Amino acid sequence: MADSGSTKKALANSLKSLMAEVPFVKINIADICERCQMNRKSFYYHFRDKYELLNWIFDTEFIEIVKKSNCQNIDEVFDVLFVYFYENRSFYKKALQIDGQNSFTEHFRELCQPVFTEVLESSLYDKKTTEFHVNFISDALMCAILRWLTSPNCMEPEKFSSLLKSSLKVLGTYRIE
Amino acid sequence: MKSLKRILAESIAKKAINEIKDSPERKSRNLVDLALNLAEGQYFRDFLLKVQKILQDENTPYYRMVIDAMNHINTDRILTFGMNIGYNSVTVGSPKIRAIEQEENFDIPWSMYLDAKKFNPSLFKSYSKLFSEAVELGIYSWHISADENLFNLLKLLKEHEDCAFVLFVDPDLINDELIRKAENINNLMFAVKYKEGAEDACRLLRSNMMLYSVYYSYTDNDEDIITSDEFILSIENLRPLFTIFTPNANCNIKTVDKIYSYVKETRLNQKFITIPWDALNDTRYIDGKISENICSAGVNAEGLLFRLKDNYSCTDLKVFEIPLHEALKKALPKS
Repeated sequence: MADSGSTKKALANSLKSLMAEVPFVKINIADICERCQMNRKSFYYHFRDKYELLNWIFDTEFIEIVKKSNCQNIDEVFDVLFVYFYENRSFYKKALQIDGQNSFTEHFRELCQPVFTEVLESSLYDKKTTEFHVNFISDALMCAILRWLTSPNCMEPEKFSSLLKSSLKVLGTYRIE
Repeated sequence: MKSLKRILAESIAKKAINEIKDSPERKSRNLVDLALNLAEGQYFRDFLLKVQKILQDENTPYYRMVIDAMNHINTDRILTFGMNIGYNSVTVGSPKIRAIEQEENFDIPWSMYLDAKKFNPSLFKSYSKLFSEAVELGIYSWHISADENLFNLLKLLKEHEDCAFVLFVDPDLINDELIRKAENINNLMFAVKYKEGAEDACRLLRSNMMLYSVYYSYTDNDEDIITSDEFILSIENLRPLFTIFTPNANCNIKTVDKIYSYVKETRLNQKFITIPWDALNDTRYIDGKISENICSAGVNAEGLLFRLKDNYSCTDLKVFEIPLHEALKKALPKS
């Protein structure tokens, strides 16, 4: 049996190249398999559907980057994340606009939330509101990233990262009179 | 606070584990592939590659074991215990162990034994210090034998949430009250002794979605019984994740070797829906992959450090009085 890693990569590259040409909603499994000359059985051996394949692309590529860069804190993770999104912006601006239960947006939120929870819990006085705050920040982050990547003049990732972090700091100093 | 890498790895693993019920075979394979992406250290990667190969056989009984585990063990327990072994012990602990061993020229075991029978609650802080000192050295996993004062011991294990504890107990200690005390301790796996009462104990653990295995302490006379597949088949009915074999103190080295060969062979041949495990030799095998020299050590009921090489030898080093670092350095200098 072919190495599972290389099979998955072939399917991933196939999906990426198809997404450059047609909307995600119009891509079916047969298209993905045909592009990389795999059979459908190979696809379903590894993935339930195209959503799962898309999420797998992010998981493996992002893990690789985090491992190599040896990020120690959330600031550093943000930096490498936004460089990664920027370098693959054609792909991710489409990925982030996919709706549905198993969409990339939902997947990405589910991965981010434990990170935010861990960071916020150590600084929040009232732990009962953690879930609300985590959802608030996740929502803000998703919207900001989508706006950034779909903007015609998509700013450099370093600038976006800096603005995002300063926005979070501004929120931290906000006082209700 | 947990390290960011641990949080990210845990986040991905948690999602994968929660989705395993939808498609156990595919999700198990993907989880192993993901672990391979995250894994650092050649030993862990080799281990995961072997698991990957096993899971390529769609008829392997290990898939049935995964399905059973997902349906009968609380997933938070699987995740925490698994991460503490796979991430803390192997990914974080092993490089620490190797670095200290090289710098200070003594051997550090990957996992330690603790005889906590007659656990004395007044020594709670001393035991806690022991676990903390072990973590400083890169040791995150413990095999603990326990009988009385289990509730106090459980409090101690809960405090050390980064470690993974396998608690070896008699079946008559497993009751509703113990389960209630252990409910929120996710870094713990019970190992129930295979004797009268084991069936009821395992049934109770299973009905409460606890993580458990079964262990058998064998003598020279048990060789033929164990190596007939009937023995593990009878244990399999209790649905333990692992079937653990431990040699009695006076066991002949030939018996120990034969049992270990049998354990390895049955594990590789995937005969059962429980994973056969040799508490002594498999642990030493892992140690040998992590470090240059194989070593195993533990702390006895009197707080003295002991070594397990060809036989058990106790030192006069009191780990409650001197740092563990110092005790191991004296007991296990590199040869």
